[in-house]
Order: sequence, then structure tokens, then C-alpha cells
Amino acid sequence: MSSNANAQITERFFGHFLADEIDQMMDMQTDDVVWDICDGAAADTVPYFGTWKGREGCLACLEAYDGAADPQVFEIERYLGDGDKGFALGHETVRAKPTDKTFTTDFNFMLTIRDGKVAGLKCYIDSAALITAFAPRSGRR
Amino acid sequence: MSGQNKRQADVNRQVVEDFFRLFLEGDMAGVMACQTDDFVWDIASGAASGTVPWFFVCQGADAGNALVEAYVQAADPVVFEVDEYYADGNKVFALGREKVVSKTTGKTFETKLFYACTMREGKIAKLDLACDTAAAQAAFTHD
Repeated sequence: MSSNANAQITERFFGHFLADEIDQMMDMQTDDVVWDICDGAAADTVPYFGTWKGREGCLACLEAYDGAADPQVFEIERYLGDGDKGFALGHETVRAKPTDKTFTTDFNFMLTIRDGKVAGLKCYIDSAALITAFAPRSGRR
Repeated sequence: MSGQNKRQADVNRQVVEDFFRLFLEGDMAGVMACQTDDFVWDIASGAASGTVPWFFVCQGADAGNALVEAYVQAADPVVFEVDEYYADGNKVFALGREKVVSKTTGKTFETKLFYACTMREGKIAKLDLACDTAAAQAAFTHD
């Protein structure tokens, strides 16, 4: 276990997420928090990908995740920290509800900590795996 | 973090900074010298591995050089920057971004880069890259 203070904040933050303590999770963030959940080429296909701002934005992201994803496995193996960053490294197996396809991938979360609160969160994940799982099958013409 | 652990993290961070500096200078012998003999690169292996020529797992110097050659053959990097480094325990994280033109399709993709390096005795034993694999896959897929 890391002795870094930001690693410990990151562990508490995800502890609330894993315990479904969403209010406590939100209370650990700054008012102007920004989540970048793999914002990029898959953002139009994966409902919870994109950039989400503020408490309402984060709650909307989590609602999109609940609506689209059925996590079979979500495990974080290590929490680390340095400078103003905290890191969470793990893996997940998820069933995409819209397509019923399942994918397994590693993930990396990087949190920016300001004055003891989470001011930013970035998620790095195999977006091609998710676009495959969430993209609808080609329809018949 | 104890003083000894902090010092080791600082050493590890410097090794990874040197690794990327040498890579950008084209000094592949220097790059290899930053790593253990049995190093493993996992360069965004996963769903896009069959499409993007350098997205695979390799071990050792010969395989590493082959991966770099696959990159050189397929990619025309317009931007490649690694400019943030963080270290804790046996891990170093290196953050950057790249913009690449696919030589096979002419399409361009941009992605953030997240390298996670696992260190052993002051050398890189494993390097994992996470990036926007969907963007790379799209750039290497013919319309």
C-alpha cells in the first residue's frame, strides 16, 4: 500500500464508489471537478464516455454508466500517488446492456487532487474494446 | 513515503524520463539499456491489435526493435510528446499525447498517452500503454 496522501484519497474515493456511497464520493470533489472518461473516438458510442463537469455532470455520468453497463467484475489492484496525482489501477468485465456483449479490459484512473479534494479524473481504457461491445450490430437493409 | 522509497521513486522516474528522451533521439541501444533483459512491452494490446500494426505484446530487445520497426513502417508521427512523470513504489507513470498519420490509409488520429512502467532494480521491466485505441483503429481501417 502506498503511503502517499493522494493515493489514500484516491482509495477512499473509489471505496465510496464500490460501496455505492455516491453522496460521500461526490462530497470528496471540488465544485468545479471535471471527469474525462475516455473522451475521444468512442464517445458517441459508449454512453458514459465523454467529459463531465461538476457534481451534476458526474451524477449524469454515473447514471449513464448504470443504464448502459452491467459490471460483472470491477477490481482495483493498486492505489498510488505522486505530486498532485492519485492513481487507481484495475480491471473490469462488463456486459453492455444495449447489445448484451461482454468485454474485459484493464483500466487506469488518474485523479488530480487540489487542497485534499478531487478536482479532476481521467480514465484510460481500451476504447476499441468498448466500441466493439457497445456498437449495435449492422442492421438488415 | 519513506526517505528511501522516495529516493528510489526519484531514481525510477529519471530512468523513465531518460527512456523517452533516448527514444525521441532515436537511440535504441540507449532505450534498451534502460530496461531489464526480459522486459515486456504491452503496447495497447486488445481489441485493436489486429488492426493497428504496433499494438501487441512483445518481450526482449529483438521483439522490441521489431515493434518499433512496425511503428516506423505504419505511422507518420506528427506529434509525439511525453511530458509528465509520476513515481510511487515500483511504478512510474508517463503522460503525453500523439498525433499520427496512418501510412496505410492516410487518416490521422490523436490520442492521449498513458504509460505505466513497472520497475525492477532501477530498470524498466514492463511498460504498458493505454491510449484511445478506438481512434487508432478507426485511422487504420479503410472506409
